Amino acid sequence: MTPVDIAAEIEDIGSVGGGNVNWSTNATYCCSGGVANVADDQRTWD
Amino acid sequence: MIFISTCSQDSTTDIVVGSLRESDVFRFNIDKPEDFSWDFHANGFVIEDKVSKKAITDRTMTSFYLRKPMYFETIDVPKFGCMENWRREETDELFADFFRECQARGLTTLVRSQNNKFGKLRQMLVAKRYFKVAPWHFFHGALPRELEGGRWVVKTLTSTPIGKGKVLFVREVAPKALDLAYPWFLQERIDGGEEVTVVYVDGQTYAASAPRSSFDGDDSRKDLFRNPKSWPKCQLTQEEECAIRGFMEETGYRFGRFDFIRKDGELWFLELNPNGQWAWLDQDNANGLVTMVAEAIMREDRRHKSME
Repeated sequence: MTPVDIAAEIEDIGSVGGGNVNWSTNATYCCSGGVANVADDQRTWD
Repeated sequence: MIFISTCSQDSTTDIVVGSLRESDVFRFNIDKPEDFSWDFHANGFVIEDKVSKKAITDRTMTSFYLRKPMYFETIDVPKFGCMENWRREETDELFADFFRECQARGLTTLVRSQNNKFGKLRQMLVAKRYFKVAPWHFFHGALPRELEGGRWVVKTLTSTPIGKGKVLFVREVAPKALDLAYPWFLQERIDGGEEVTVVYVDGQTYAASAPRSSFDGDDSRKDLFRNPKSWPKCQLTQEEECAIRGFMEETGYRFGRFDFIRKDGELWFLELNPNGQWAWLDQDNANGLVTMVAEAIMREDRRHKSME
């Protein structure tokens, strides 16, 4: 099994990003991990 | 004036800005360059919000609060690059350097630069001095003997996308089935208990919990995406508070969100996110979490102003 075999489909966890941000679709809602390139910390400043 | 470096889609920024009323705030959305103009030069800088006509300069900026300067709209970058990626990289580097300069000048609030980052490996090594930590392995090329038995979950060090529409959440795997050509991070599965998340804000804590039976699978985020809801606030024991403070003092972080599993009265460390999402835990500020963070930012901002 490779990482992609284990990965969840984004469709399984609801839509993310784009359009009006709200708590149900916003990928920044709670994640410490990534959906649609969500950083888990301030990695932009590495 | 507090400069917040973020993006247009960060809801935590939306919420905290509303509680920073005491201070003047300039929000910079790195993903909306068309809304801003900037000029950094030998004698200072000016950044203007072209929509609101508000501006911040080296004379008016008192603090830098780093949230999420990032891009939700991903792009395909050709082998030899493209204009949009070039624009993003140039902008990122400028504002990253701006952040580092502000840190060097003692102007950052709560979140620091990554010069001495504690990633997952270093967190695990420090955590064992303060919490219970389930056995873990970062491995590649050969299967560690300990993984031949027991139950294990796969985790990741980064949030790097794997492919279109694919994201790797925590889930149980059979170690023997893994392709050892890839690097893996596995941790022994902890059964039962409750998930506890703790926001640490410059010496103060805010804890919330949810029984693990209340969400599907091993990753609570999956369920939260499907069914967004705050977790109820919970109490920490004096020993737990003490352990959390010890971990933060040793790593030097002043802000972060811990994830634990509490089982049989003990906290099992999962991870610390040094600049993650936290506002969802109390989005209406009913329990004062937003106020706690906002006051910490404003407290530091007042200190910066007094040093001018």
